[in-house]
Amino acid sequence: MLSPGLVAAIAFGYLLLLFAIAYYGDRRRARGRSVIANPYIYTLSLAVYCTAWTFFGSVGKAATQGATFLTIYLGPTIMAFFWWFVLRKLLRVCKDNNLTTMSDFLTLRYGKGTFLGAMVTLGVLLAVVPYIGLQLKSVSDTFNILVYQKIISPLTTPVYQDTAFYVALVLVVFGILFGARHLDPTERHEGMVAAVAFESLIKLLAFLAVGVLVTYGIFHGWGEIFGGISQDPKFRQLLQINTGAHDSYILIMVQTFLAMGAILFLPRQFHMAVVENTDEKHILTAMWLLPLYLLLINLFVMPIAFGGLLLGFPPSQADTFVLRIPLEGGHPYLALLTFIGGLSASTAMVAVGSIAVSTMLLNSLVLPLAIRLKLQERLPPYLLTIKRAGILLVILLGYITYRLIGPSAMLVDMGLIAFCGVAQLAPAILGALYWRESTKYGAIAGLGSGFFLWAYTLVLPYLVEAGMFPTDILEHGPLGLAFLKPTAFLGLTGLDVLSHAFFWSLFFNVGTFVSVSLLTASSPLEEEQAWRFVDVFELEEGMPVERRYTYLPNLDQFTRFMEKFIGTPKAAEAQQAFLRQVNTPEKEWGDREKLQLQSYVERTIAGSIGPAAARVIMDGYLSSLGSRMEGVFDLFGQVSSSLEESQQKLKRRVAELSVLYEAARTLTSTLYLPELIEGVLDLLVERLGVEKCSVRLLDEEGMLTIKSYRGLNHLAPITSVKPEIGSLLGQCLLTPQVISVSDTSLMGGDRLEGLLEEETMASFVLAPITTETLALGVLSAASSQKGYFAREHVEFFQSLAGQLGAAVRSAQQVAHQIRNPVHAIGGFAHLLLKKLPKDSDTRNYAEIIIKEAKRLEQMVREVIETSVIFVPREEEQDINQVVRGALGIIRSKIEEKHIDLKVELTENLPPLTMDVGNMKRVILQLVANALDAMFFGGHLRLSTAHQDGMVEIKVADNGKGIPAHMLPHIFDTFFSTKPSGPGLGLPIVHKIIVQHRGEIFIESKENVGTTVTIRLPTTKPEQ
Amino acid sequence: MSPAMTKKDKLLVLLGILGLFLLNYPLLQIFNCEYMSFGVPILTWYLFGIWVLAIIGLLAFGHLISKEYKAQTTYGE
Repeated sequence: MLSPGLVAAIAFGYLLLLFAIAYYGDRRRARGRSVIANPYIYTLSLAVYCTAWTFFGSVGKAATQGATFLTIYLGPTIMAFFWWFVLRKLLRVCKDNNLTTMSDFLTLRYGKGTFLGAMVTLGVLLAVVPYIGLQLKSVSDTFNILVYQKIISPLTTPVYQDTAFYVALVLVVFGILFGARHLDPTERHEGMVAAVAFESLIKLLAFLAVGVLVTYGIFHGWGEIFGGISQDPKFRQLLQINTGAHDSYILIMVQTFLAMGAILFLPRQFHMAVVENTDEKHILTAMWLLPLYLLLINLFVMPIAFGGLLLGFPPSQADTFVLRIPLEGGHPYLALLTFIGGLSASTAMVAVGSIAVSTMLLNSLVLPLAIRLKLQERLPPYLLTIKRAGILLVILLGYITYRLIGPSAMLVDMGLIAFCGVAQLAPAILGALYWRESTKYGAIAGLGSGFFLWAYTLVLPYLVEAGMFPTDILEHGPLGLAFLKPTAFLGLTGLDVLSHAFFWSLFFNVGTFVSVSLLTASSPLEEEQAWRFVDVFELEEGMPVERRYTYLPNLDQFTRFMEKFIGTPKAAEAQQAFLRQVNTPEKEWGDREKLQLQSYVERTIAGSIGPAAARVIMDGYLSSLGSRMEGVFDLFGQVSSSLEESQQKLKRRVAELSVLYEAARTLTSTLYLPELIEGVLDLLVERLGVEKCSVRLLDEEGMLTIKSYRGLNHLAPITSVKPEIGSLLGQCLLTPQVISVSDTSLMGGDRLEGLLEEETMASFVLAPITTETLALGVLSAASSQKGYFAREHVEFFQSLAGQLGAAVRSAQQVAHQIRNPVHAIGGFAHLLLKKLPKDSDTRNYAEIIIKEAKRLEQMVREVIETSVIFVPREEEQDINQVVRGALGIIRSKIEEKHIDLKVELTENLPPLTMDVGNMKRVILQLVANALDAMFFGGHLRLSTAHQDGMVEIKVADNGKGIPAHMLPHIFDTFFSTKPSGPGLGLPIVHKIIVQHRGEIFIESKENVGTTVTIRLPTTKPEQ
Repeated sequence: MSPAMTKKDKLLVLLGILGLFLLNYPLLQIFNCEYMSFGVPILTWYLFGIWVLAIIGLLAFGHLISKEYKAQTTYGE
């Protein structure tokens, strides 16, 4: 017999060997030469699926229930057919977002809230902890059998004499050494994977060795064993299935489904298959090699089980046949190998499982809680300690459950409870990957009801059996309500406990998940994530810029920020990795790269603290720096984000884009306005198949006249109308905004005034052609088909009309610039002509100059005449009203930044004649500038006064001020004091004030503040 | 990038569904009998036989797909 010292020493030596392998694996990774980056190691690491439950429990189950145990391994084999479809997608999403647990996956997909993650974590913890207890039981039982030939019940031993307790402690050390030696943002532990892969090999070899011994050493092959069993009336029913509730077809189906879910959703499987994966192509090998591994490790289960029974071992000891047969058959060293095999199976499961669950605990429970308690600033130094404590907690909880309910349950039951528990994750995770309309509330309802019913119908009966709850609940239902009996919920009887629990939990889980998802709407954040998850394969490298921060820290600042969460070396690594990824030096970065950096940093820290916490911390960090988010209109981004549109629509979008592109080319290739407008209309007709379109421009009298058209009758140009605000045409021009009418029959006649009959037959779009401050005309397109112009066309026409406006404006400017020199050239040429003798060659040249100059003048005149400045709408208004109105719009932003606002308005000011909308814009722009200049609180003063026939408005801040050398350029277009930003604000302000015959002054001193003064005349403008 | 599922991917999923049927009631009923062949129950032959066929099928598809799957995405360091 084997001495306790020898067995313990060999076990300890084996663990040391594993650690050496892990150390080697980590060293190799550090040098960039991964040992695990091959599909065979990947497959072996996935074999962490086979725990002590497989190693010992399968035989136990085969000896009592026959072939049904195979479903646990046939399920993953069937699932392997779906891996390329499901696992690959899961993998891609997780790698793209640096997700390291399933709770993080669900948290990110369903809107980054903390509740869902916490619920998932608690559910998974409840499922996995007894499973870990089971492994402890297995190691302790096999050790005791090997040494003392008997199982020692924990009920009769104090903790300090309990082998399982010491096993638990060793495993805690093992788990920490493997999984939490340092912080890693990717949560990858190559050393551990290498060790687990090695263990998978050992457990397979050990099991095959016992199998060969029993089948061919003790018996003479399969035939003898099966023959013996079929002769024995006590055991012959083991050769068939569906002989009772314990091996019914329903149970077989349920177990197959559970195993299919378990191979993907058990925390350790998710960790190995997704987090530790190095290349998605490895799936293609693992998908056949893992089933082969499972087949091999199960090949001798039935021979060992039936052999044990034939040898006279009692079925109650079937869980340990693998050990007892060689031990009592005189092969103690083979028994020792078996023990090591079982030890491999247990330690691998506990190490990976506890690391995965402790990461979940940290990311989804501890950190969100810390953030709620506002402790996030103090947390970073303790992250590693918390993680280690998590591993300790998970394993010790496993030990406690083992002591409480372990002895009453056979090995297999605990495993199936865990399988059924994690199966609750399946609907939410699959919904996250494939169903865009699934919502957070749907997921919460589904997971909540699923976990609850699982716990109620499956876990509770075991707790009752273990004596933790009165048996009344099982016999008569809670409070005597028979229809709520956990094992016959709503009166459903005739099923075994597992099938019953499976049915009810998933019935409610799927039902509420789908129905609540359909009844609730997802938040914009969820919608964005849904698109990123569901269409992960359609995403291209460059994500569209849809938002931007007013200010983002630079790479070094971000690196220092990351250091707090992942340590200095890893942060430096991440910095380098990012630079490689963008492949552009920091100096040349635009908005896209900066935004990429921000999301990269968020993803990186999400790897160690989870997406929910990462988002809160990132938001807090940015807002502490005075940054806020703003939307960016990006037509290309819009196109890629609406990929779900039908192909038809997509084609139209592509055509639209090409029109915009061509239009941009036409607009830059000519300054001659009529040619330009013709070009744009041609594009609309040829590329987009627009039936009728036209461009109307304002003339000097403020009348809209059709300048060019396609598909309309020839009388069109004669009609010219005055744009009234009551008509759509006027509304479009004066507000200005794009107007799309999908069915003209629903419109009143006066609203359509000014439009041609042909244009108003069914549907049309009107887009204002404007420059920054002026309305120039209207671009229209019409169809004789109702609803031809969809919502997204609005954006397109807005863009196109905007381009036209810009072109008109630049043409105008160029024309003004050219006009005087051309006059001069013409004039001087005339003078020359007079002084030159007749019939000389030189005289000919001068005539040519005059002729050409006249032609040029004519062209310039045309350009200027076709684009007349539109007079703004003026009305009499009290300026104080305007100031109050503007403040009402921006007040929330002022409060958000904790800025002390003082408003000193002088009452009874004379009313001013002005364009109220534009004036409000001026005030808003000035206040916004002041806010931008003040980072951390500050004073903002707004005042109005009346002086020398002028009304004075002052906006003063004590922000960072404007450097003296920049002051003279402050009103230049495209000049900006900010490092980023278009620089259009102050020039527009200037223009509007000049239009109102006013004056604007800026006084500013760096680090003292800026005061902007506007003076407007109280006299009425001349008519 | 391989955005949509190829026909092979779909065929693979179909085979998985077929496997699910083969390993469940009622098809399982056909082989659930006392008949033994070469000393081993026909049910055991059947279950392991399906298993072996599944592995061969997966192996074949794995090879076919990996040949076409050009765009490698490596998640190394």
